[in-house]
Amino acid sequence: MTPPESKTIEEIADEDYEHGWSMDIPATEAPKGLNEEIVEYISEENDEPEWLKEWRLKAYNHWTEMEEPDWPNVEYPPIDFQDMKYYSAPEAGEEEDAPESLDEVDDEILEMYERLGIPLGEQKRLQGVAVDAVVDSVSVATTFKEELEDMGVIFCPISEAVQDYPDIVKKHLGSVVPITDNFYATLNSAVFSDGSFCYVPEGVECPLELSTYFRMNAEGTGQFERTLIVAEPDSYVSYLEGCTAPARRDHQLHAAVVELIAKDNAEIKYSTVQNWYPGDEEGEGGVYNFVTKRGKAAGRNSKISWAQVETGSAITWKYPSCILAGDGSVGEFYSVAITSRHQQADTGTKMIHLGDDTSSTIISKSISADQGQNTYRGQVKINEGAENARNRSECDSMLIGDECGAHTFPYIDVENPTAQMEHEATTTKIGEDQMFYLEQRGLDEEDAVRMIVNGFAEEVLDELPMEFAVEARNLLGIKLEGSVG
Amino acid sequence: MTQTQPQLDVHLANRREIEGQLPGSTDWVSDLRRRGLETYEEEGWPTQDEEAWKYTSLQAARETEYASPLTLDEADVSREDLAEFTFDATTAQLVFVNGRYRADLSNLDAVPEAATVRPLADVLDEDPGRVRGLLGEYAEPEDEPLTGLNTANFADGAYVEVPETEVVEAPIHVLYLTTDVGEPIAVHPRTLIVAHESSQVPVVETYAGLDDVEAFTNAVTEVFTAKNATVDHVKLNRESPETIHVGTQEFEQDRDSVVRSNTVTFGSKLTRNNVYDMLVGEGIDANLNGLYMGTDDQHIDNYTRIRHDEPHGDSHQLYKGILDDSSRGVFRGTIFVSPGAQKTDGYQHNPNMIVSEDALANSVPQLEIFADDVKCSHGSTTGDVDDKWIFYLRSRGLSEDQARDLIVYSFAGEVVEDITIEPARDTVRELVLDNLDHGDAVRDAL
Repeated sequence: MTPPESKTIEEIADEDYEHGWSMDIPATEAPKGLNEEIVEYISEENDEPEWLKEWRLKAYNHWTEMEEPDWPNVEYPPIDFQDMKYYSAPEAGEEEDAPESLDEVDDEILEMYERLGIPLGEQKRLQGVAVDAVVDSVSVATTFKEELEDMGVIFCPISEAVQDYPDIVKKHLGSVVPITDNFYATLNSAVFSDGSFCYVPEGVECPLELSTYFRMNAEGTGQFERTLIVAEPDSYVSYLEGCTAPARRDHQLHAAVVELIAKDNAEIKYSTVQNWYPGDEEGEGGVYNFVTKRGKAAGRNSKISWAQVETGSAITWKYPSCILAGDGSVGEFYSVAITSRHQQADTGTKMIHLGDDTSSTIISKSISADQGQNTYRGQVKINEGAENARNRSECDSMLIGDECGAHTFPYIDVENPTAQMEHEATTTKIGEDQMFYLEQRGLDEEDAVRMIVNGFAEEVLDELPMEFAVEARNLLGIKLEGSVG
Repeated sequence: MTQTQPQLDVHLANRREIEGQLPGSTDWVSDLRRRGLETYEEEGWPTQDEEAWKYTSLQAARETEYASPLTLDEADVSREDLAEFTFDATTAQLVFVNGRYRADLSNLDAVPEAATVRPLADVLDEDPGRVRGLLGEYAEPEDEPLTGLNTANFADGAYVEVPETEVVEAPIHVLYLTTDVGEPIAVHPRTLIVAHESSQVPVVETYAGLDDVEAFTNAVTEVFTAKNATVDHVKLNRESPETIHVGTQEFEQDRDSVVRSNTVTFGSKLTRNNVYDMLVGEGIDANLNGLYMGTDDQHIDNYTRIRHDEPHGDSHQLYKGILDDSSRGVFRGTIFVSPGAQKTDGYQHNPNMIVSEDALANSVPQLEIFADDVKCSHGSTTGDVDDKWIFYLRSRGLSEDQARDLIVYSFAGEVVEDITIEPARDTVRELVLDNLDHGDAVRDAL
């Protein structure tokens, strides 16, 4: 194995959060605060049908009666939900001048994505990735739409899907994460602005990796995107999600909902590299990432696989889950979560086994450095009627420095004797013997640590599509800058 | 309950009735009891809304009209009645029947001279200064509402104290027995074990019930293990199938001390064992294991929390569950490592064997780690008896039933054979066999 590209500590320290810049893009915004009018405003801005408006209002009214959850193992000052904007659209994204092709996308937005290293242009074709770019509340560009349409794959902003494919959206929206699900999911149902929609028809193996890149730009806005992926029988799709945000002194709220539905023999692979702004060294600012992700392996032998690299956000609170309803369905969860400075993460998964012969795998690797707090929280539930269910869970934590914390809270609920369950968790630090071995072979301390950390996370990184894996490896290195020694 | 407007909580009503009979009129004891009462009154009963009680409901214990046995006549119990629960006649033994000490059934002759083994009520009445700063120090009244209730209501219990460097070799057996008195009763036994510097003592606590008595046992055991001392401890639940048992054991260990404790549950329709250990010195060894065998519709909940506060502590927890019929086993254990508790080695494992279609297991092994130079791990497995093993044994001539039960027996063996107190180990081994459908066949095969 060749060592990752070496950089001096100073260089790395200067890198810091490289996506912390923001741009002045003219935007249409909703006023601060949340009430029925705002919900209606968002609905009207998106020119939505009546049923969706009603659906949102129902969610909003339910939300007003809900209490913010306090069980996650994270601490933050109370969020003032009235002191926040719930809608911000870059003006180029206004529907009357919606870009027909990339040539019409506002130069500033293109430039922003260039700076993020996500070119929306031609070169992406070579990498075989179709990108949906979401800035603040709306989708600004989607590449390769036509090529996908030829195969029958629909990949477009969900706001467009509501207009163009209302039946599919209506049938599936909220079917995995109902509007009453939890505080943040319900809030999202009320105010979600945009997000990606993907529909893969029967028998189609999606030839491109589909990707959404989320970017928060405007100040004082929350981002509430909603993603819906439907895979019809015998289809396959791999979906990537990336996120960044500018460095702001205020905390920004990101409350997304992702719903996946896999029918008979279908497979959905969902990968995330989450690099929202984590706040500065003192813990000022940073994104609150409160996300609900759930997939339903509804069909026989269907499969849902989550892979996530969580490096950003001041607070991460998310549990990508699988409901294994179909007989023989498979759920997978691969996660690397890294917290440094004052970051807190409470993340994990739920595997709910309902069908017979279902199996699930959970591999979670958490790395805590500085004052970072990292919690794995997960549930594996084998329902009474789920015969021959199988689960293997592995949750490993690595601690770097003596002020951080690593916590593991797995819930294992077995109601059927034919289940085979294994859960294992370990907590360790980087061994002195490992460091000694690498250093005596000429690696400096920083590289040795990178190599050990990459090795620690290898099992998960291997699950990521290649270019994401490269980005993830680099992120891991950057995040640990200054934490070692 | 059919009563629509419950009046005063039955346990508070009981307390009013027995207040005059409770031992310990000294100020500090009264103060301790008052603190317990306040905690219970303020916090009330734990409910399933609380994370720690998510899987277990104590509603039945809260709503049943229990009487305090102190208001009733002494039970008519003979040595023969308890024979099945006792060890051989030479074992030092303290017997409490329905909350009261029974000198006629106890045997204190075997207690080594240096050690103090007495009913706690006697100590509180005659020499309360002896337990001042010890009683209520490790299980504080504020820790939990039911610990508060025990502190407020306890009538008696065992007090075991071993002076510095003294080694007690033969085990001390404390038997808390409940008997059928015609109505449901609530008892609050309290045990205090103090092992001073470099001393050593083995203690077995048995909680047992006669004649399907309907009881609520709310037991609290405090164990202090001083510097370099060793306490071997077994808590054995053989309560009647109508009893609800909540038992809280709070250990505190000073530097270089050793605790080897086993919490073994066969009885009660509902059991909740709280096992807490505070490791407040360096170089501590804590071995806290458990075994539970559920049959019928038994519900057995083990809740453990080991707190490492100082460096170089080792803690080891192995909780094994065997769940038959429609029983339910719950394990929730936490290893907590404070900042600064470097070089901690924490291990926790909860294998469950579900041997019936209707049985359930819930397992929540938890780690909370705030120090970086530690080695902590936990594991949990759940499954039924492996067909391959049955095949192996059948190919060697065992019947399927024999094979199945032999596998279950050996599964339990990992905990049973590690019990350090020999008579308790033998008893537990026999009880495991008794609980198997084909225990005799296994005996034959062994």
